[in-house]
This record gives sequence, C-alpha cells and structure tokens, in this order.
Amino acid sequence: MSALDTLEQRLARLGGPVELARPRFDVEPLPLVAPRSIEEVQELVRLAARDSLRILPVGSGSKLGWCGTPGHVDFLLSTRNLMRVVSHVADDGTITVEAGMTMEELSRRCRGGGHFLTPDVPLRAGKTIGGVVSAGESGYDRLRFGPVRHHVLGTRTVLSNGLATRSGGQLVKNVTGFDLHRLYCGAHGSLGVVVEVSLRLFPEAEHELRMTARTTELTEALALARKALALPARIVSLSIERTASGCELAARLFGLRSVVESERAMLEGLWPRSSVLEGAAAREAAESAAARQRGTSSLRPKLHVSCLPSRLDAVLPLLARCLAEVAPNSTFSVQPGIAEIDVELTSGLEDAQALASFTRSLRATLSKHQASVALRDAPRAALVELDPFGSSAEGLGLMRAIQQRLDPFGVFATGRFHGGL
Amino acid sequence: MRRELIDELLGVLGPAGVIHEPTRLLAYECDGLALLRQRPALVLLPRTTDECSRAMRILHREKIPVVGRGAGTGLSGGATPVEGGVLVGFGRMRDVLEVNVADRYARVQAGVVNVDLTLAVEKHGLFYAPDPSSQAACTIGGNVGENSGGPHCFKHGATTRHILGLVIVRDDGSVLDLALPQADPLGYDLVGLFVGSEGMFGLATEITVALVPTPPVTETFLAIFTDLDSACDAVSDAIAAKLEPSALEILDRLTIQAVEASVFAAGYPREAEAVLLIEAEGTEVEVEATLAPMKAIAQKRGAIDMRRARSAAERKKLWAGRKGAFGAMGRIAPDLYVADVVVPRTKLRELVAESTRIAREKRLKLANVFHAGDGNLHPNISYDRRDPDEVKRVLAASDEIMKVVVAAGGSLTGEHGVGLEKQEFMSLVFNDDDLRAMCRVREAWDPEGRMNPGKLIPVHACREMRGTEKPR
Repeated sequence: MSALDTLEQRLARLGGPVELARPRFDVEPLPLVAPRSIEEVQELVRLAARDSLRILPVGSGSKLGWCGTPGHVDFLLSTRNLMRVVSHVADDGTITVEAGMTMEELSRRCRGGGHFLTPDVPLRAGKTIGGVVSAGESGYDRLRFGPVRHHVLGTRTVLSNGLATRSGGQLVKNVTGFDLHRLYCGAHGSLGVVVEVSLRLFPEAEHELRMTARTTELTEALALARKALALPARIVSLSIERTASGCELAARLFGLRSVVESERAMLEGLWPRSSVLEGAAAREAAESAAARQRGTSSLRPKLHVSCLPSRLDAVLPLLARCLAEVAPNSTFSVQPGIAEIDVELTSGLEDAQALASFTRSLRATLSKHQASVALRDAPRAALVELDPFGSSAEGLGLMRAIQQRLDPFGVFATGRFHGGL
Repeated sequence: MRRELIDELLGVLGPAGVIHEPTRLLAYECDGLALLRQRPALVLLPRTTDECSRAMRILHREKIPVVGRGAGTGLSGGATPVEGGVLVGFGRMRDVLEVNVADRYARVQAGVVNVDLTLAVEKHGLFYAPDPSSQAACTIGGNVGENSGGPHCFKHGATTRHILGLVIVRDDGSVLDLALPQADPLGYDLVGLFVGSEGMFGLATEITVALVPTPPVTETFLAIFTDLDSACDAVSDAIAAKLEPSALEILDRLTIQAVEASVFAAGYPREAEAVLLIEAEGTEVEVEATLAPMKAIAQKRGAIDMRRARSAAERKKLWAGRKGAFGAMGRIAPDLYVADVVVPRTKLRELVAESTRIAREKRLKLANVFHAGDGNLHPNISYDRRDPDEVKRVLAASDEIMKVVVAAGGSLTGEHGVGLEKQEFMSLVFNDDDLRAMCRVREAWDPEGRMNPGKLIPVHACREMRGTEKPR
C-alpha cells in the first residue's frame, strides 16, 4: 500500500468497488463500500481503527433519516452484500442469515419452510435484516408477535477492534451469557456492525384476511378498536388511518382457517358494516397500508409518537389540535393496541426552525402523558439543537460508558442516536 | 465484618435488615446448587429501593463484594456468596406496588414471589406468564437475574419478554430508574441487557412486568407412551408441524414413579415409560384446532392413551405433579443435581438418549423431566453428597452431557443460568473475543467488578482483556 493511496483506493482494496452515497438526503456524499464477506468487514473496521477513520454502518440506508446528523464520518460501510443463509432449521423454527439479506428475500425463504417472518415491515425489498435489527424496526404485527428485539436469538457483530463476536445463539430458548444482542438491536450501528442475525420464526398463515370499517370521527374509530382489542382474538395488527374524509379502521387476522373465521365472526359482530379482503389481496392491502401509514416512501418529515395505550384518549386530541394549528393537512395513523402514532407532516412546516419549534412544543405538551415523540426524516437544519429521538434517556451516562468500552477508539460514527450516542 | 460497619448498616436497615450472627448466616451459604457453599460475611435485607441504595453506598465505600439473592432457588450457584462478601436478599421487599389493568402491567418489588403476582392480578382476568417450577418460592427479582423460564414459556416466552421496566441499584448505590414501560427503549436497551445478567450488573429492586389476559379456555392432556423416544419424537413432530400449544412437557418413568410416591401424586400411570403433558389455551375453536393435530401426532408416535383433564382441579393436579417433580425426587436419593441444557428441537430423542447413556456408564440414577417444546432438557441426577466418589461421577456426567449437547448445536443453559456451575464451560459456546465483549459491557456497569464477582465469565477471559487492543 502506498502512502499516496486515496481513501477510496484503500477501501476498494479491502472491500470491493466504492461508490458515493449520502448518509442523509441533505449532506455531502461520502465513499460507500459494501464488503462481500464478514472477513472484509473486519478488515475495513481494522483499517478504520488503525488510521483513525470513522465508519457509519448501514444496511440499505432506508432508516438513516430516523437518526440525527452524524459528527465526522469518513466512509459508509454497507452490509448489503452479505447475503448468505448460515443455517435454516425449518423444523426447529429458526434461521440464521447474514445481515445484508433483504427482508423480502428472507421472508421468501421463511415461507419456503412454512414460516412467517416477523417483523413484517413495509417495503421489504428495500430493507436488510441487519438494518431492521440495528434500527430496532418492529412491524405493525408487533400487536401479536411483539417487538423485533424479542425474536432476535443471537447476533454476530464486528466490534471496533475488528473482531466478529457472538452473543446469544440459534436456539429458541437460551440464557448462556449476557444478552449483548439486546444492546445491538436498536443501537443504529453505534456499537458495531451487525453482520449475522439469528431469528425465531412463527407458523405461516393457513388463512389470512383484512377487515376494514369506516367512521367519520376518530373517537368512534378508537372506541371500535378498543372493543376489538378486548376480544379473545389474536389480532395481528389493528390500525386507524385518519384522512381528510374520515377514519379507516383495519384489522389483520391470520392463522389456522377455523380460528381466523371465528375471529372474523367476532369482529363482524362489533363492526357491522365492515368489508373484508382475503388471502393475497388481504396481504397486499395490509402491506400498502403500512407503507402509506409509516410514510416510508416519502422524504417529508414524520413524527413517531408512542405512549401507554390508556393515554391515547388524551394524547390523540392534543396531537390533532397541535397539528391543526400548524400543519392542517398532515395525515396520521394510530395503532391503538400498541399505542403508536405515525404522522406525515405536510405543508406548514417546511421551514426547519418552525419544524424544530413545533416538535419541541409538541414534546412539552405530550410529556405530561409520558408520550415520546421522535422526529424522522427532518432536514439537518431542524436538528441543530434537537435530538430526533426525544428528550434525554434515563441512564445516558451508563450508555455512554458502554459505548466507550465497546468502541474505545471512536471507530463508529456518533452523534446520531439518543443523547448524541 | 467490623462491628462499626455492622452498626452503620443497622442504622440504615434496622435490626430486621441485617443478619450477622454466624448461625443465622448458615441459611444463606448456598442456593439450590448445594454442592457449592460459602458463608457470607453479612446478609442485608432492605425494605425499599432507598434502603438498598443507602446500604450499597456504604458497601461501595468499603469496597465489599455484593451478591444478590431472591429466594435462593437458583440451581447454578448464581447466588452462592463470595468470601468476605455481603449478600443482599429481597425477602422484605414483597409489595405489589401497582397493577395497571388498562395497560396490562404491574410494578412489583423484587422479592415478590412469582405465583403471588399471578394471584394478585387474577381477579382482573390477567396473569404473569413465566412460571418456573419453583414459582411457589422463587421471586420476580431472581427470575430477572436468571431470565427464568417455565413450562408455559413455550408459548409466552421467557422472563425477558415480559419485563417492561426496572429500577436498578448500581454498584455505587446510585439508582437507575427505568421503570416506565416504553414500546421501544429510549437509547440502548438497558432493560433487555440487564435481564439474565445474573446479578453482575446491579440489583433490580423494582420490576415492571407485562401481564397477559387469562385465556377463555384451557385444555390439558396427558399422552402416555411406552417409550421415552416416542414421546420425544412426538414433540419434534409437533414443532415441525408448527403447532402452537402453550406447553409441551415430558416426564420419564423414574420421574413418574417419584412423583406418584410423593405428596405431588398427580395420577400419572406408574407403568408408563413417559408421559407428555400437553396444554393449549385460547378460544374454544383455537384450542380444538391446536389439540386435534397434536393428539393425532401423539397417537401416530405410539401414545397408548390420551387422558384429558376434566376439571380445573384435575388440571391443577397434573401440573402440581410436574412442578413438584424435583422435590419428589428426594425419595430417590438425598440430593438432586438438576442439569439444564438446551438442544435443537429436531434432536430431542438423540440427546435425551445420550444423557441417559452417559449417566448409565457412570452408574448414576438419571430421571428426565423437561420443557420438551423449547428443547430445554433437565437430566436430573440423584445422588448422595456424602459419597465423594458419587459426587465426582455426577460432576463428570454433567460435564460430558454439556459437551455432547454443545457439539450437537445446543447450549449450556436454558433457564437456570451459568453461575458458578457452568462458568468454565462458557468457552465451549463462546470464544475469548465474545467473552471479552461481555467483560467490557460488565465493566461499564460495575467498573470495580464487585457485583457477584467470579460468576458466569471464566476468570481468564476478563483478566486478559486489560490493556489496549487497537489493531495494528
């Protein structure tokens, strides 16, 4: 290696072709390298540690807008070319894959073994399992299956010293060692590069349907949702989408045919004027609704509000009132069972200062109901003095100590996650 | 322990909160792993988080090692005291602090007994799902420390899936309040990381747990087999067929006989080589849809009889037999070594047979009672600790079982933890780099390494991590 080699040349030598990519839509492009093996990831991390370079780990980059603007970054390291199946034991309900496999491909493989992949996130073709785990992105199916972190059985993660370390394993039950994979899940790559993920799988549906009902008022929709949630039914997801013309309430049911039909009968008793889609049509409708509700295909700023389910009655009117004042055309959707609200902000908040000010004010308003408000896909200028994840987390000092112990040389980009982690 | 230090701690905790008399300390010298004993220098029993915090500040100043203890039912030596160290027990922290029915959670002190939590919330149509066999004695705090399981974790998941928040007293006495339930952690998942950390990160004093609605229908069946292999195969088939009962538990002949001869007698057929306890819950339709194929599989695998619990009382009796099995084995020999390993569920028959072979070769009595649906085996060896040769053979058999299991893709522990018992076997599962990463995280929580020192991680792993590791 010559001392005159450019960074791009050094990266290319260790990890294949280098391209330019933006870590956020409104910052200058940087070199991106997508190594083809875990060994190449290790070599690139070692290079960074040795030469005091800063890495921003990414999957396909679909959730970079969830984070703040990183401090200094020298290059992006994408795991998208790590696509091997390490082990798939369908009869044990487990799969281990490399981090770059897309959720679409992973889901296809799971279906091949008779399993359903949770989290069922929208726009799967553009997301990798490593990215989903690193961002802690759960699907709306968490109402039934729980959050993604509950289904990660283990990980292999390249730490700042270039070592690929394991945590957990590939078994559905296992308490051997500290669960470091729980740390990596949702850490947005601030502690290391997740290169391999083991997951627990669930039975594929024999039958699936999606029931929808319309109401004019949000309160009415919420009341109907509450009744549905009180049923002894294992509803997969339940959402309310508020648009200019009213509210659409949707429930997704799947499982054994007889069970799904009995749950349908229960729901029809509560939602007398509902309509139903079945099979592939139901799945497609659920996917497109989830993509729309999370606004994953747009670059407009979004809010992700979370609270206890019992606080929704208080939080929703406050949120609606705040939005009506500054961004009246904004659409939002609610998942009443898991008490999550996704808002896509439309006209009225184009100005970065106004967006930051609105977010601060909303956080203050909702804080009395212990709701958290995350700001996603916001322009850089709005995040100058605003943490996109919300107010400071309890235990931030301990989190910094963990980060310092796992990345003592500052190899991985900081400043993007909670409290500047 | 210095008298003035005892007096200072008495000033914080009162006379009921400090045990220093040698005879009373004896009761705390081991947990369920009775092979390993060490008398603590002192036992502290705080009443509140604040008392615990104040006591921990004093211990921090004095640089005294601390071991946390729930009810001492753990089986891996996780609560074995360390020489010169203080043991902090939670026997006086038994309050249910809050039950939130609308949001389905409860906040409890760490010393609340597992079954008492369910009893406290059942009037609201809710229950706490993790149900270790020792649930009549073990505490929620202990369950958090070990990430405990139980028969119904097959459907509901182990403790970690049910912990929504924690209040933790750290090594220096500072209080980390993570009690508020959050859909997703704010920052790193400290709660998820803490669960199962075996008391090496701090002391959980208050715990926020998720509650589950009581199912409208619960059905329990007993499938009776003339050989253990077939019972194992029935479970492997059920997993491969993606059935979702709430529990799948196997008891072998020796266990059945011990249970039936004890106060836990459940009506298991004494002549059977194995029984498979099957439970399904949900709506009537769901239970029927789950049990019909399950029964067909059991019959296909040679079950000679299927007995349905016809009442809640009968169901309770069947479970009392299962959960009392460890206690019942006291009839076979004075002591019981409860092994705890996990295997891929495709290999149940093979590894149960291997465990049996190993015990037979070492002239030991082995009984199997295990969470078959999760692949969590408990090959239980009855022995007499007064016979040193037998003790040696028990430990050798346990070592061999762990090696065979790990070689087949299994793991060291499914619910009892590593503790002292399996510490040296960690290297079978993790390499030194993996273990060093664990040491680093532990160091962030407890820089002086005073919390439950000498457990879980083999000593060499943390010793070698000192110094720079910057790649060259």
